[in-house]
Amino acid sequence: MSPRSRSSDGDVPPGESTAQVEADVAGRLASATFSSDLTATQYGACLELDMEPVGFVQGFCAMQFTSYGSSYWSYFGRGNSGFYRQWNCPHGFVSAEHRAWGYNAEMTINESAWLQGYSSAYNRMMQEAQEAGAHGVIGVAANVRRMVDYGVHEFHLTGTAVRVRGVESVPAPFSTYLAGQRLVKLIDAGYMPVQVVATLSEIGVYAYCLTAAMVEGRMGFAGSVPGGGFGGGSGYGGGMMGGLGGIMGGLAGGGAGRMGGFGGGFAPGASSWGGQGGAWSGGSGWAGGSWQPQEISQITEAYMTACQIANERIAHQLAGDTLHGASMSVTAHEGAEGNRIITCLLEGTRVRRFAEIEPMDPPRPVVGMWD
Amino acid sequence: MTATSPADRLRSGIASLSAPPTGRRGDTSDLSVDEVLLLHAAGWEPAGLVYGMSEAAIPPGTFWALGAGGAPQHIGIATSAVASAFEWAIQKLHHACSQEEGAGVVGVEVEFEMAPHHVTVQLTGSAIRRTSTGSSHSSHTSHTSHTSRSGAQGAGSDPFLSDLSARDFTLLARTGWVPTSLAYGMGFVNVPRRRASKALSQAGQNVELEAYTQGLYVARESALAGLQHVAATSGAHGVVGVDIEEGPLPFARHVIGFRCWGTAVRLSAENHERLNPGLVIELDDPVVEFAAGSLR
Repeated sequence: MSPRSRSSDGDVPPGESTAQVEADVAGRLASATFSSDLTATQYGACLELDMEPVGFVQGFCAMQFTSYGSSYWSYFGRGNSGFYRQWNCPHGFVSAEHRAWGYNAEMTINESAWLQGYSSAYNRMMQEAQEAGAHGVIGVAANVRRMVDYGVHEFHLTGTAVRVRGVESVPAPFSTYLAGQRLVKLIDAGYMPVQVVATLSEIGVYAYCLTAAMVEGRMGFAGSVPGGGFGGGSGYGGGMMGGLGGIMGGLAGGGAGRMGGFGGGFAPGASSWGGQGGAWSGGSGWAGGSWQPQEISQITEAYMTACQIANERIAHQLAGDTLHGASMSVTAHEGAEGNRIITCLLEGTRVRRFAEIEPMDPPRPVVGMWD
Repeated sequence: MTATSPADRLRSGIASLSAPPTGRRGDTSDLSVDEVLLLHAAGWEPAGLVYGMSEAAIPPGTFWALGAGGAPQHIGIATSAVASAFEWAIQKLHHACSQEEGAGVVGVEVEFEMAPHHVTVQLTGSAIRRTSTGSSHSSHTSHTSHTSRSGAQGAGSDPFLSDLSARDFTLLARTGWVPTSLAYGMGFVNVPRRRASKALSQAGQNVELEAYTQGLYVARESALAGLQHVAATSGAHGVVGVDIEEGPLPFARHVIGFRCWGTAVRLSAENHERLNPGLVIELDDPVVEFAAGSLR
């Protein structure tokens, strides 16, 4: 049975209409005419490679993503087997509201849902091409968008299935995002497309006290942030007083009329904020009356880890081949109190070098003469 | 490029798909086919897609403004925080490039986002390394040998960074210039409000707001001075392809921000070498377009 008619839960059994769709697809792809999303120039390049379009193929998957619900930021025990690192508050117990600990955790549930949706759509597109006797799919385009309801995503992959004259069969049809002259140049350079690859990694940041304080700008003011910042105090009360002391000192010694110019208004004192990763840690921040730049280490780690995981996954899929034309997109969804979800999407065409590159002569620079 | 036809090359490529995977770690790159070919022609090849980022905190009150009147004032804390974020992101990119055994990174894409209490800098690019032959097969071998002698690209030194495309990188190399680093500069200036009496006296008039004009100049000067300082520190002779972003901050309209970055370059050859480009005239006929709307 084709994946197009597969039902995982039995709610939509393959019926007459599904069978009719199957027959229609088979008939369309086997007909003497072909359909394709190639432009005229891409079609010309296709013919240059002895490629014959077979048909315009697609793969769809409507995928519901599960919700982390109320346990979104504390979803231990939900099968998270990915990256996890805890960030502990250096202050001890302060209050029930104090972020005594935080973590960076890989959102494996979202990752697996995305992977399932993408893989299903990809496999269905490739199966359609294979059933039509194609040797590969070129000009692949992938699109993921929300549909119907919150948490439901449509995965949609398209491409043009092609046959190559003089080739009997292939182990598995190849696929590539490229088409047209770019594909011709890639092959001429000695690289053969193997398949399109894509992965998504996601890290959830549950901010601990120092991250929350820095992202929200509560340094020295809010009760959730202990002292040592502006005023050199210590503990919960010191934080409040430190902040107020900073303001008063700034006003007294100001003149510049803004906090950034308070400089000498801040009382020197050793910072007690020796947080993990050095956030506002000892000897920095406002300690000593001078400010030192501080990296928000927990957030930085989350971004770097998301990209590292995506890179490692792709490298594993490449199995020694090369990823060509990679596109990496890193996005962040900010929540309250410094929380954040960081998503890294990495995709490209896996290519195999089948011939040594023969470097061309450097192109001759030219200047166009226009009106 | 090759003697065999593209179709024959494709059939050879398809035959290679039957071979088992090597199991080695594969290389990645966000370069186009053209860029890969140009790099190969100059004796370089992609090593891996690299990423570096940093988020730095900006203390509360940094952009507060109390009172009115007076001259624009430089906000050193904001400048320092943003510059530090750049520096830390660059360090991570250096580290990633070294892990890929790259000599440098080209096509660095800079994403810069500023919020009231933090600033985020993300850098993405393709690390490149010398091909195994180590030199081009062209008459420009002398140029590439210049680049390999440059300190920024030699072993044991920091990898070079450049936000130039691979095409521009190879073009520069042919003229005897090499990138050294990504140069950046920042300037943030607080422009005090006009005093009430002055605002009232200027109401309804066409009048220059001198404090804002001056603020733009102060911020510009701080940023470009920083940019040139970073370039000079890397041993560069100048900076090309400078991108600028300037204007009031969206969350603090009284603060003028000026951010700029570009590729620091230096002459590695003894003299600049001219490209001597040829002149071309296109012989294509113009495309005749038919507009159906003209029939109405």
